[in-house]
Amino acid sequence: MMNARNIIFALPIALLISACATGPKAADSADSGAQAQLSQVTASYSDRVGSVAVEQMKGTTCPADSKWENLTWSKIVPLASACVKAKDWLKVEKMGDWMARNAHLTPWGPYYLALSAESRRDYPRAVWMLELALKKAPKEGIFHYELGRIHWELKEDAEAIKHMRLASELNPTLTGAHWVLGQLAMQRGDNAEAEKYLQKALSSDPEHAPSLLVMAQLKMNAKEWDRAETYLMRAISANPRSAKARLALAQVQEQHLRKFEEALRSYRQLKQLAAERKLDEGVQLNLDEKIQTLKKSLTQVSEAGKVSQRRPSAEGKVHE
Amino acid sequence: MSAWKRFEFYTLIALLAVAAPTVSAKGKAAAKKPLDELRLVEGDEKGNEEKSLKAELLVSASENKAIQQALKLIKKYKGTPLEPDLHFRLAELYMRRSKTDRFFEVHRESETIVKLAPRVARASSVKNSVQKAVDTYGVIQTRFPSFGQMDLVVYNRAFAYQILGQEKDAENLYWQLISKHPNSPLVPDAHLAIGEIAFNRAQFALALDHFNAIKKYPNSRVYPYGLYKAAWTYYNMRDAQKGLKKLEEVVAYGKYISDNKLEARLDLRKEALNDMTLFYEDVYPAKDAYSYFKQQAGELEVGPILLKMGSLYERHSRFNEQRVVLDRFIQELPTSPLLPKVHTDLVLAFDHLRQKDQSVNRLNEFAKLCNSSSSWSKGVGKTPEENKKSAEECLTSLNETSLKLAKKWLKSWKKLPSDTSYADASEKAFEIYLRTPGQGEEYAQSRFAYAELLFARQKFRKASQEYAAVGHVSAPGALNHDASYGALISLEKAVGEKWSNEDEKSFHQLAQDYIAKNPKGQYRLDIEYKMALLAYEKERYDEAAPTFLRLGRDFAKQEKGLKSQDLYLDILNIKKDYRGIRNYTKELMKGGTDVARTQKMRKLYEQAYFLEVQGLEEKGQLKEALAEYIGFFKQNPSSDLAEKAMWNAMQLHFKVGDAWNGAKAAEEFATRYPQSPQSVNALLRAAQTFEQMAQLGEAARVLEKLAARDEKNATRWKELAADFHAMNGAAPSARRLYNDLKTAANAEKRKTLLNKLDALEQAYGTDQSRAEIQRVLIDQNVQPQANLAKVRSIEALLDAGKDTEAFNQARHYLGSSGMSPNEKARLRMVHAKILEQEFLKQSVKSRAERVATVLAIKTEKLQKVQEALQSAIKFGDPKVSLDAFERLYGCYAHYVKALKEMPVPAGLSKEDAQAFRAELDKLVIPLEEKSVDTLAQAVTFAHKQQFLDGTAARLENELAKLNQQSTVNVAPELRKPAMVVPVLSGVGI
Repeated sequence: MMNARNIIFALPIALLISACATGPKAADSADSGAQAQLSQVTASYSDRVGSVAVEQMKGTTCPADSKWENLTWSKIVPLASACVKAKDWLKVEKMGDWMARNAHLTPWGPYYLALSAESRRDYPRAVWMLELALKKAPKEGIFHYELGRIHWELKEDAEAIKHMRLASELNPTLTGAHWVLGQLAMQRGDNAEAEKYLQKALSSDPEHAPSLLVMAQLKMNAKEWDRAETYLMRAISANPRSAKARLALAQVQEQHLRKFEEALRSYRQLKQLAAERKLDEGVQLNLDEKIQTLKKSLTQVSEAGKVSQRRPSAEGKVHE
Repeated sequence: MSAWKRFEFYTLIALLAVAAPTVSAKGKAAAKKPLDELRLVEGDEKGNEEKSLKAELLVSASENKAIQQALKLIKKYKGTPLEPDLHFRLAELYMRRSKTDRFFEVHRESETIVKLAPRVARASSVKNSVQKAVDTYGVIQTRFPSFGQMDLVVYNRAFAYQILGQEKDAENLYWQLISKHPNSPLVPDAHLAIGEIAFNRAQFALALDHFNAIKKYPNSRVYPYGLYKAAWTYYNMRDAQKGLKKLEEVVAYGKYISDNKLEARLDLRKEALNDMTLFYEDVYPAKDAYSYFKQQAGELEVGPILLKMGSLYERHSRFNEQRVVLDRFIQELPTSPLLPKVHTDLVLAFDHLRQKDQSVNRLNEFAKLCNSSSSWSKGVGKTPEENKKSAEECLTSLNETSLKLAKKWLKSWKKLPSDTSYADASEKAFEIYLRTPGQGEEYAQSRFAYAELLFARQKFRKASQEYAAVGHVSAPGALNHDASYGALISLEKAVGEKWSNEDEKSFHQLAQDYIAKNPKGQYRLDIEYKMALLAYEKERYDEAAPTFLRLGRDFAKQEKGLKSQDLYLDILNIKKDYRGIRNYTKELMKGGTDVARTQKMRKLYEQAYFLEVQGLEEKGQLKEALAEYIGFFKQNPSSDLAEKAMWNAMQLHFKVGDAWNGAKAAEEFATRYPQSPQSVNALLRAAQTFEQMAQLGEAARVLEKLAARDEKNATRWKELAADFHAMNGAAPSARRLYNDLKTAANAEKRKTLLNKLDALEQAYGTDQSRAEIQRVLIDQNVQPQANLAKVRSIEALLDAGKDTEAFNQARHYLGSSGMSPNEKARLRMVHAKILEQEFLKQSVKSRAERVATVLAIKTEKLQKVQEALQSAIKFGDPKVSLDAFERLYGCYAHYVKALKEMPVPAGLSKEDAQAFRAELDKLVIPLEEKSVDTLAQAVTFAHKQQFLDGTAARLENELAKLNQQSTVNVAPELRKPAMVVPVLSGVGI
């Protein structure tokens, strides 16, 4: 209900303003001028803006003083982002407000105001601000992405998915949106759709562990074991602490690819990491038993093959 | 003067001429010692008066001495023969002194006399002296009858009486002389005296007798005078012909004495010829005058006589006769030096005859005469110098005449403007007069009069030239001023509306002349104004502007000065020099005392100021224009344009990209001009801008103002303000506005507002405020909020452990209509959850004989849960359904686990125990399958529903576990993705 307020309001205002100006030319040109500037901003912005998850942001720090007020809006944006990372929401609010007033043709003031509102769980305000940002830059996916997150928080799943989908379409750098949509597609069995989104996610971030895992699962579901192995290995590379990925890799190698040596190595690595408490969760499998069983199997295979050939020992150190 | 009076005058002259020698011959001898110091000096009036006085005093003194001496001698020689002679001498001295007394009597009022000889002046008396002479002559007549010069004594005594006005006594004595002394040479004189006395008494017959009596004495000195007087007596007796004959006799007598060189006799020919003209007029026609007088004059000049004749005709208004005589004069005497006078008289004669055309013609003839090349001019004198002089005098005479007539006719035309013949004649006369170059005041005045005449006759161009000529020749002064101005005005009138370059050049020259000679002239302003106006009308603004500027400053209180100011402003306006207008009007406002004009200037100032700023705007100097608009309405807050300036400033704020100040300006505009038709628009613009700038607090505040201003849409704006307040965290303001609106709203609107209040309280309210709105929603049955509130309250009861109450209320609402399927699903879930708890709590521990009963009870409870959950699923709410599926799976799993773990009842044998376990297994297997199927159903449902809470993944993992899947599911739990921030490294702005 509140989400549509600014849109509803804007229409009659625009009509009234154009109808009531003393100097029609001045009023028209002023409006058209503003629109022209906005289009320019939007076009430029949509083509080139990127995004980064707050946790992954590096370099800039949130300023302690107010000197930022002398900067241009494009210089303030990274500072505001740094303040978001630092959770200095008061400063984020100030910077957002400054940009909203002094660079009102750009969408970033309302955006940071939305993040600030979200931080204090003022979701109606956050949504309103994001919609305002979208009015200024209708083709920017970041705002849909943030709207999706808020609807997610409000358990308005359908709305959240809708905005995530728009976000994914509009901004290829929104890895999180691609991943969520990919995973949802996989869940409902739409593997092609899932792969499309996951590829987008991995194009944006080749080391995005959740996407790699979902992609691996997708391949496992499709019994494409080689590719599943590849994605699992990439997932492990992206997140070495992933117990599930390591276990799945070992299982795929053992059960489907019959790569016992690789499987044994994977199990041994898993066991060693578990022992070192370097995994993100516990492993619901008796690894000692599994390793012994696998060793036996390897021995039998080895002995069966001694007649014709000799193989080097599969015993070796565990590689993380 | 009448003819009789004229005679009296001439008589007196004659008496003096005749008698004076008699009386003064001796007196003159006595005063024959002229003193050089007493000689009169010409021009020294006062000195001459003093000298005359001194002379008379000397004479008087010597006369008195002589009288005293005579009186002494009479005493001494009394009774001797000398005595009568001494008396006669004394009488003569008295008569002599009477003359001196007359001097003092005449000059008695003279300051010099009164000052120098007051006593003498008072004592002098003619009458006394003459009376003493009369008395002395009487003594001689009485005491010495045989005195040898008795006829002289009688005559002198008679004359003295005449002086004393005792004419009767005088007449008696004259008669006594005629009768008693018939041989005396004084007899003709006595007749003349008696005739004169009778003539004066108008006893013309008697007088004629005495004048005719003189004819007997042709050798008498008074003989021609007697004839002359006789002629006048006939004339007075209305017998002009006889009179003329007598005058002819006088002329003949004069010719006689001239011919015979009798110089001692009186030659009265000239007087007679002159007087003949008068007599002739009554006797003969004018056409014969020349011949008659030519004959009478003889060797004397006839011209003057004819001229006199003409004058007489003129005097008697016989202008035709005058014209005849003068025409003949011109014809007969072409070389006469009197011709200028003749022409003058002739011109005037025609004028008298009201023949102005002829008069003008004669003036032209006159002009020809005076021309230096005319035969008259060349031959009138004896020498070239004389000719030149005569020609000049002729010209003078001509000009006097022409000017006189020009003025006269002009005057007549002014009295009778309808008769343009006067104006025509006057014009021509002036032209003749002005042909001669002249100088001096009169000449200038005359030309000015001519110019005035032309102007009055609307001959403006010629008038302008004549005025200008006067201006050139006349010295600075009133005439020069008027003429110079007249030249300008005439030219202006001659030109009319369209000015040629040539005319304008002339105007400029005339104007410069006027200003040069009349720097403080009355019309300087008008002229300079006109010059500038001409330039202005021909769009030579650079030329006109400085003049208008100066006139506007120098004559600020005069009409033209004000017009100059206006035109200067107009030029500035034409040049679009708004800064100039602004500065000038500011200057005019400073010194202005006229309120209306000051107001007008202020208006212009404001308009120029405004236009100047608009110019900046049009040139794209937006920031400058903005600053000026702000300056304008600060400096001119009460101006009609202040509102527009403020509006434009507001627009420019937006144009230059300063939306914040644009919005502020819009709001200020609406505050300052609440009655403006733009006020609502301004507030709308401000609100829109604040909204676009995410300034919800500002937007809300402006919208509240707008609501107050725009009554028609007040509700709408107030509601939007409340929305903005709400989203700005100003819950109290939002609440206030929503509640205000709610009071006056209809049912539908009230519902909307309650929903908004609900949303407000859910987002920003307290527990208390949320409870309150829930209560209101339920009380007012606002759907779906009321039903949802009921559902939530039942769920809360359940959460609070009030199972029975929750169960009953859920059942109650499930039975009522109006609940939506989703709400019913949730209510049914309340039932399911309570039943689920009962099922889960139901223990399966039992003795052997009770096992069947316990399991039956447990199974029954399972059935009830199952029924409730399935019922909830059927309502179709996805979340409720999934929850129900999961719970159903949980119940099955629980039952399987319970059966699997069910302890063997005590007291059973090993075989029975095995059999018991085998029976339980039979129960477990289908339940396990049911459990897995239900979980699989839940997973499928979850996948289909696309829930984001991770349920699907969780259930999937659970299912994989149950199915003992060989490969682990690596898909991570679906989590809300991380917050992102923009990376603008590629943004080109």
